[in-house]
Amino acid sequence: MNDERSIIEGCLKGHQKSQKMLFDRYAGKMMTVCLRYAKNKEQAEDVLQDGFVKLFRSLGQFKFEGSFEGWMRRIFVNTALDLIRKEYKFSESRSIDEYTIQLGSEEVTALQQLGAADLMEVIQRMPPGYKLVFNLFAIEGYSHKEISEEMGISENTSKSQFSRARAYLREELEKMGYGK
Amino acid sequence: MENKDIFSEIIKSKLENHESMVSPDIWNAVNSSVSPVSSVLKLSILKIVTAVSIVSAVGVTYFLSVNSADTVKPKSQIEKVQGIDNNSRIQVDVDEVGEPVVNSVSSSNESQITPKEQRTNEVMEVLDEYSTAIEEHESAINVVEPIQTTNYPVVLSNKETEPIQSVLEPKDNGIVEEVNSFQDGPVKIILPNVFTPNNDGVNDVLSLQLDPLTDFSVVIMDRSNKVVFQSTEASFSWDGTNPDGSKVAAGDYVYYVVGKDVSGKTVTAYSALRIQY
Repeated sequence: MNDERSIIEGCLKGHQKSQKMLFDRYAGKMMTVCLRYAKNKEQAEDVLQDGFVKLFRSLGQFKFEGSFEGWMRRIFVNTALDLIRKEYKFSESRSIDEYTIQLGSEEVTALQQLGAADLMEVIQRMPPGYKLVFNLFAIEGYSHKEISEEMGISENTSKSQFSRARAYLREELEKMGYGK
Repeated sequence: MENKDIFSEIIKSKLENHESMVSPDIWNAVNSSVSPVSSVLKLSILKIVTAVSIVSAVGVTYFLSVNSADTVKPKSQIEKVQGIDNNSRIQVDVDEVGEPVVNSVSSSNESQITPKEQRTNEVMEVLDEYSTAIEEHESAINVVEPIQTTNYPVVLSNKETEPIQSVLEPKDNGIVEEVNSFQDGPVKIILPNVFTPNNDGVNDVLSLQLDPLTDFSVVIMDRSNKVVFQSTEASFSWDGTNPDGSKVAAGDYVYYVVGKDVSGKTVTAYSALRIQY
């Protein structure tokens, strides 16, 4: 988008108006990203704030290739990951509960009916390990290998955390009355 | 894997464009962190930084020499030097000249020198920021990051005036703090670089003796760029406490002062600040 480009260029020149425009345009979406990873709203706000500061400082590195939103989203995800790395220690799991959940048609229906706000709520309530892997794998599209490298855990841990997260999600959806 | 894809696709599509409420405070916090004041401030964290602010003289020439001790192979980076003088533009030539000179920064400094790779990144990052800061401040900033002791003459001149020469020496901490080689230079700000808020009655608060400045602002930050103190009062005094009233940790801080002098010119200065108890 041309418009977006001129905003970015304005930011690069240090124009406060452009920075505010960029902020207003993306803050809501990025807050969603931050809320998905953070343990509470306050932490999400910290990540959002740090993320934007980083964004404005590294804006010069954006080469106008590919999606700007995708590029900026990675900044926020990485900012959140930095925080989680400091705070959260995975308990390594080598157990064999790495089962494949068959996605039944009723689960698909339930998911499709699911409202974004409800989904956000469930994700925010997830235990930290589930939440992290769920976010990275299902939403950010990381592979388990990438997650294991990024977070210093084994691939197995990543896989089992993910399948537990899915089971958790399904249970929570049922409680909320989805898929019935 | 098929299943995973459907599952992920659905989840992703639900949240991709979902927007959450953002507290208006966050913009204020972001704005104060990315304003040119703090981005220039970050420059001073570099081991070797020279900053030339406010080219108010009609023509200026100065000679700049930066020395730094390090063990790795000679390498230098000089990026983007620009002077802005009201309507006329000053040409700046930067050349690397000669062999490394002998004098070096004191050995106590070595522990502070960060690994080469990291420093290179740091410089690039700062320079990116710098390119945005420069327009706001109408200043000429020259960042030199020699890995080994090296001389860099930097010449600013225009045809009408006599050049001025000056040689800058880094202090023990490796930071070149002042550049005063201006013909009818702006207000000179001298910033203390150490104080001891230990309530012994000596040097317990930080305050500045300044010529009259308007639109004054001072920001003090710790090494992680967290603001520990800020004020818009030129007569401020800081007792070394955080906004929440607790004492800040001993260590290295940086601070930055900006204001307008009587003629309306923007004056800036910054310094490292060591806090000891």
